[in-house]
Amino acid sequence: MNSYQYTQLKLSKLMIILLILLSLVLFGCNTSTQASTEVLPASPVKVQLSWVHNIEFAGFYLAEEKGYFGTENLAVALAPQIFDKPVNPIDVVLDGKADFGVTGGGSLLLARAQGKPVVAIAALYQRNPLVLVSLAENNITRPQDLAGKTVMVNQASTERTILPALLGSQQGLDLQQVNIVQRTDFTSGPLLRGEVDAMDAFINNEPVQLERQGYKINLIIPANYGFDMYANVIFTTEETITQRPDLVERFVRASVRGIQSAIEDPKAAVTLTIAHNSDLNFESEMESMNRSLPLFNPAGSKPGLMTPEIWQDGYQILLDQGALKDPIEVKKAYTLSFLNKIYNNQ
Amino acid sequence: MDEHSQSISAPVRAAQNPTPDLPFWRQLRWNLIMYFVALAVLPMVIVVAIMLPLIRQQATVQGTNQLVSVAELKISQITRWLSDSHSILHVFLSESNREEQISSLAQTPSQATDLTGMEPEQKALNEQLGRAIVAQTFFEEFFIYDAKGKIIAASEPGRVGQLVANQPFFNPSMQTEEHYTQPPFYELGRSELTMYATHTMHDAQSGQPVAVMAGRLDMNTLSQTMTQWEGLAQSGETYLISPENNYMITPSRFESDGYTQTRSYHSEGIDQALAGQDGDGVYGDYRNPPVPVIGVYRWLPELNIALVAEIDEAEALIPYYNARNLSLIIAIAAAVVAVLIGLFNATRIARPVTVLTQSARQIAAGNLKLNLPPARQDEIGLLTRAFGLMAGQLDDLLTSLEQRVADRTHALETSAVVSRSLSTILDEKQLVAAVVEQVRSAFNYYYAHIYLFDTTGETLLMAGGTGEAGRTMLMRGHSIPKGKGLVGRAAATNNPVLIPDVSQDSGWLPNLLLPDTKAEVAVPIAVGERVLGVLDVQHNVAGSLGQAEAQLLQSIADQVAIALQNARLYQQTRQQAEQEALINTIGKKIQQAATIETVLQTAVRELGQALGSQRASIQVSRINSTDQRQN
Repeated sequence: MNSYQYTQLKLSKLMIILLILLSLVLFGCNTSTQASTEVLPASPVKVQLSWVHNIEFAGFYLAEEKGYFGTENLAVALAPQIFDKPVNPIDVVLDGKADFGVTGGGSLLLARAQGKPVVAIAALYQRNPLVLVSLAENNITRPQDLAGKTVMVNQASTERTILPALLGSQQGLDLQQVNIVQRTDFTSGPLLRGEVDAMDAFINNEPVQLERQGYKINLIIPANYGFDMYANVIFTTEETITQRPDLVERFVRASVRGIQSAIEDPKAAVTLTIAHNSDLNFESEMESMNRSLPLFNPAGSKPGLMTPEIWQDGYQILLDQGALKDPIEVKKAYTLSFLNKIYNNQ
Repeated sequence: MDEHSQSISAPVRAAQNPTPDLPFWRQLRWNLIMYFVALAVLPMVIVVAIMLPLIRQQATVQGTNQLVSVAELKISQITRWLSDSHSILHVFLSESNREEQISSLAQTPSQATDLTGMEPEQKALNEQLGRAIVAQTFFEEFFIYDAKGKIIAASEPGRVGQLVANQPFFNPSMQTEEHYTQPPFYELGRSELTMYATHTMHDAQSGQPVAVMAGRLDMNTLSQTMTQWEGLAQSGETYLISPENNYMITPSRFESDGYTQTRSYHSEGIDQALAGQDGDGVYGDYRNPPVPVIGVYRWLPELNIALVAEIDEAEALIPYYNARNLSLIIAIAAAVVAVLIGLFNATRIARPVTVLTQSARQIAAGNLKLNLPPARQDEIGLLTRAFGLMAGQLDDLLTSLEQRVADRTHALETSAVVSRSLSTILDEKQLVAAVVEQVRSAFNYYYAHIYLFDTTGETLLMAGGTGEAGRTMLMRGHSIPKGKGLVGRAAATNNPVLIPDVSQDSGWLPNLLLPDTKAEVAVPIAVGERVLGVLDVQHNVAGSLGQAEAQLLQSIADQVAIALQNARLYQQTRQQAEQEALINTIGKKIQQAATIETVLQTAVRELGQALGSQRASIQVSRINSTDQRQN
């Protein structure tokens, strides 16, 4: 290293010190302004989740743990689903029992078609995690291989219901040849017992469990066949967006920071997830988290981002599959304004 | 008495403690030790202070240079791996008219619902791709997709029909001239990083992309390249890092410590490189807590990833630390040796000084019998010797002075005794005899005698001498003419004549009666200018008579002269008194005579008796009474 570089090093160290001092000063200012706003109590926010506590909500856990909610002066309460008493997050939010909710993009579009004024504000998963999982011995590697097989699908979910039809239309598969059965058991039991040949799953959930149990499995990944539909988006009501845009922005900002933190430190994300749900296993959740990385933040994207193209594709699929009878205005189902503001400001 | 004993004992007490009053920093001994230590350690410290930063800088430069070459090597390996990968795609496509086949296939896609329904061309292409994938090691699978992103052929036929339109490499592959390399990313359905190389085929007329051949690269090759850490010591590593969430693309050397690939990593090197800057530096690495490393970082634009080569500063600087530790050890050793030498020399120098100080105190206390340490062959030795010599001479001087005082006191006492005894002797013969005897015995001389002038004043007659020789010479009536010999010369000059060693004086005449004479001194017995005689002393030890003895004898001789004069005056006075008494007696007898006749007869008788004459007569004459008196 020559002396010039040394000087540079020293200068850069000096810069770092200056930056630290500056940030301390700013932080000091920040805390002082915060102190003035702290006179106001933190805004209470309730979030209705779409599933039990699990890794897909890790962004919320980290936002809470790292104080991002606190920084935004939010007091966030997360409401998970309860197996015995499942609720529709859209209804909960519309009833005013929660400020925000998590639901699938397809469900949201269908709700909009029913005139429910809900709007997506950010995506948790940017790629669709739905898969059809089958044991390797069933030799199901392509949609065409589903012909003559029994497929178990959760028909309570529109996205899942249309899955076989979508694959069929894409790959020229005759749906008549597929025996589609309603999902009754939320474990992998029917698959392992041979009652079904394939079943729907989240790519970061059941396949991980099966592999950990030593099964060789095959996956049909609908996303690889053009099934672009948001699987879980954060939404709120049009009213909230209009009347409390500041609250929405603060919540979205804290949430995407949480997702970013989860990506940056998957181990912390898993640890926090297990803290919320002690039924989960650390190694298994670590693997789930690894598989979730392309969902949380696909190559070239940023946490929380949504694209009009994917919304449009999803809408088109619903139309094509007849889930939506009449056209709706897709652009009203989501807003990018908060995400744009957050990322442009960063 | 008490005061006296205190003044004596104080220096003795002081002598027990060599440096009773000095604080240690003023003590010669400690000063010398400090000087030695300073002399030994100071140059070392100065040299080390100058050298260590240089060595450190040198070590850093060496470490950096090594990392730069390692980084360059890795980059060239990656670059070659990529270009080789693209060559494989190129070679496959350039075989016969394969590109044309693919183009036509892409523009008239098969509507087949399963593999068996595929066009023969499509099936053939799948097989070719399947064979090609086995024939090489760079790729794990090949597939070809059309301009809409639909896979039309694949080495794994199950892929046919899938859409890649939402894969990150799709849009770039549609826009590139020919090659595109998709940086590593986490693909849906794969838990490991995935990397694609694509080769785009364009329509000959329109120039629009019609199909793309893609290959999924075997990331192990990249990992192996990056994890070959030979020559990077224990802590050196090279890794690739992605701008996507700052994940590691190749494993960390410290993966087993929890530094997994799927985690965000930040360090100066990582952040700089991901910002597109090449460089190097010393900074804290990505570990927690950050470990100071020497790092070299490069941005690889063709891959859109960063390469970082780092080595723990602690390890890179081992030569420096070794040098530093060695310097420290040498400095400590030098200090210890300096202390020992200092102690030895300081003791060598300080102890004689202390001893000399003690000795000086003892001298001050009056003790001149010193016990000095054996002298060394140096200045301190010379000083000690000189000091000893000085003390010895002082001692000698003091001793001889005391002897001389004792001698002189004795002499004076003798002189006083002699004088006292002389003053009582009025007989000349007795006086002389007493003088010679007392002088000889008082000083234990060999021989002493006295000569006195006869009535003529030209000849010195022996008046008395000691021992047999003296008696013999007195009986013989020994005489010496004035001016002859020692005695004659003393008389003639009225000055002492001294011959300390008779054998050295050719003019000296030996006396047979005194064979042992070795030294002789003759002092005049004089009252003022009038010399009465000579006191001559002889001794049987050569050199035993000197000026001091001469002076002492002279003072005795002066007393003798006065005594002699006194004796002679006494003699003279007595004679005169006797005569006057006789005359008085005669006169009384004459006065008692009644007649002239009786007067005359008494006068004649008494005068005759008094004068001792045989015949006495008085003539009476009327003519001249004077004539009668003349008879």
